[in-house]
Amino acid sequence: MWFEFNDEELEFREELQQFLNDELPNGWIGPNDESTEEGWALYQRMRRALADRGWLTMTWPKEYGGQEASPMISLIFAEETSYRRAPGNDRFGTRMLGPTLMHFGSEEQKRKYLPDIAQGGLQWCQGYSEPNTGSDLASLQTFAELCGDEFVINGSKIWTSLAHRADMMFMLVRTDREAERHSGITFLLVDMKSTGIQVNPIINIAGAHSFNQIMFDDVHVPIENMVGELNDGWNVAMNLLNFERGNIDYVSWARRSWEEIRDYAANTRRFDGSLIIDDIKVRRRLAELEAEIEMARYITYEVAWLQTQGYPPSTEASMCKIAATEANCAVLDFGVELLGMPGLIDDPDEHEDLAGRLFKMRMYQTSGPILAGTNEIQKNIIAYRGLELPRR
Amino acid sequence: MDFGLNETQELIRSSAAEYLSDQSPSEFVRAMATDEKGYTNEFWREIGELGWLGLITPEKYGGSGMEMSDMAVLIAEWGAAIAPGPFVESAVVSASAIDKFGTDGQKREWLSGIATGEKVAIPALIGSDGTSNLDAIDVQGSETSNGWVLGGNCRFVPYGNSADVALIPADTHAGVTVFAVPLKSAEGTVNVERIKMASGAPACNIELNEVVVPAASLLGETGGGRDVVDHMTLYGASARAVQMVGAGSSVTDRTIAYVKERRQFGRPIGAFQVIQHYMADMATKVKSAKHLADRAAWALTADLPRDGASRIVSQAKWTANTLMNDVVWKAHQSHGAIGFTWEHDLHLYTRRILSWRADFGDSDSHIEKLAQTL
Repeated sequence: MWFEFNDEELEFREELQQFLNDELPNGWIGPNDESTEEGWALYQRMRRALADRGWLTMTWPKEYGGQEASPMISLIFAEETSYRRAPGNDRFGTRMLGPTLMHFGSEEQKRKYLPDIAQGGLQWCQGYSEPNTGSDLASLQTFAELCGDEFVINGSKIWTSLAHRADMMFMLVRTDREAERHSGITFLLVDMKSTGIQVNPIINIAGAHSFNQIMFDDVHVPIENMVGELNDGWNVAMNLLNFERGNIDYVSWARRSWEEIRDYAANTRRFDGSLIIDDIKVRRRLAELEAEIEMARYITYEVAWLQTQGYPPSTEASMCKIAATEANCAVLDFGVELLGMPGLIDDPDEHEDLAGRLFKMRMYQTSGPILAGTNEIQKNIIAYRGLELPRR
Repeated sequence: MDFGLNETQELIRSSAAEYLSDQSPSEFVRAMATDEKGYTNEFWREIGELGWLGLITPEKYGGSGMEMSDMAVLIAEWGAAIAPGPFVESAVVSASAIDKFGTDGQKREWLSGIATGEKVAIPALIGSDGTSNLDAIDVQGSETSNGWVLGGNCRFVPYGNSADVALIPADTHAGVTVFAVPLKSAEGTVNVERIKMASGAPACNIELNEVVVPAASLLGETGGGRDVVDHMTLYGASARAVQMVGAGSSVTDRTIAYVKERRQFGRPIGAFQVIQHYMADMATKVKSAKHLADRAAWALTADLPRDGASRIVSQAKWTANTLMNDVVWKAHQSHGAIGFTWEHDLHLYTRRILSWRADFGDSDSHIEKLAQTL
């Protein structure tokens, strides 16, 4: 039982803070909007700068150019960059596809893609969900027919973040309609410039173009772009999901928003001259929300600690996803109402003013409890895998 | 970061779990809930022999000199078994207060007796309004030529009918001052009225009338009582948080076992998603509260600024209060009618978890402490 970071970890945090001070635009408060050209340019610049330090791939093995950093250092990296709302922390290439290729990729695939991911080169996106396939991922229908030495893909993927910016997609396709549904799926790497791919923007409830629907019309993909065995894609993908669930991001976002709301309450007077924070209901609710953030934080720390001990986290990762996304939404809900009418201003240009940003952040964070396995799916995972409750 | 137990802690955990399942089964817990004293001398001497009562007391005074994070491992098991007796009150709160504020003479007089189980010490922190608000204390102390005279009332003193010494905060000319009052041998009148409490642990109203104590019974400085009471509240809140999470964890395990067994509509009710999500929620709440409670116990002896530990403890107690309350009612909902019976053991936990919320600061007092230091 020890609830502090060690010296090496504290030193790394300081170095990272200094880096972010130097690299982020002056007075940066974020979040970044990658749907604007300016925001996309900043994302790419930051991604390169992080890659130059080797930080995007710090947990990778040395043989693939990584630093074999501990999961705790990696957690601090995510905690600090998310707290600063810094763009460029590429999750698709470095956190998801990279580890998958190390495990399942051919030597040629590793040589071709891993150094590029490490250098912050190609942008990847993830093609899993389909219009009729959400939580029930194994029901996916986008079909890839193997014709000689290439696949021909027909179907559609949806909710694909950054697809309009991406160079490549890693995706799941059905390759055997007769097989049991988990065993007819294959994992493919697809060039987004291929003929037959159409990317249609979807505007999210924050008013931003953050994700897309992708149409596949006879898209040809060479067989060397298959990762793992034919019809073994489910196995490949499930392994990858374990890398996806690093939920310290939500804890940090919640903490940062909480601090902004607290500072607003501590520095703003009501019409009668009283400070908002002196209202007993306001200050107690702030204290409660802070405790909720701390609960999520320590489960997240435990997930990283379990990894340092060589245990794969499963139920703990689900627990922290639920706790962190719920705390994040609760903080923003509280802030939006606390600000009164100014909290409802919907003006993306009002970046330096909390009133202009809070509602938009609340809209964005609606996705937290939904994406990467809804919180209800996480509860199913806890119930089945952790508590061993019966399925029927 | 280290969320694991070291070898010693693992030994404490496994031996405590084993001993308590043998020696404090629910029949014993039930019997003690209606017992005048609330525990047996035999049980107390035995856990004294096991070293549990002196775990955080220095070796010099008959203890093992371990830290609160080690003690937390034991308290969690104590809570899981809802074992009876003034464990937190005597071996944690009073022992640590005497160790921190006591004179060498006081330490010799009380600490080794507390550690062996021959003596029991308890804090008397509840004032006239029935809360642990220090401004409501109702005992007055006046200094005389041969010591101090105490008069007034302490309310809801845990195990006040059997304790050897009570740590009593009193109003004095110099401010709040804490006295170690030997209840059984005090000069003057000590009236003890036992009250039947929902938790099964006896509590007593104690009336002090012209009770004369020597200056040597003063714990800490004259007028320095707020520091002593703060310390007792800090250790008490931290220990209770751990104990509540231990009990909540046990409730969760029992409920999960029950929903796997109980069949309706041709299947175990644990196969229904609404029940599965209740169980996932309970397990998540236990995990959330556990980390904060363990961290609070650790923080008491870690090298943190004092205010740091105080905020961490308040967060832990508020969290345990709030989440274990949720856990216990979800457990009842999942048990249905059987959990509503006297015969079923679930209410033994319910009664204690609800009661412990009030001890060493209720939810409001802890959240307000946090709110004042945002």
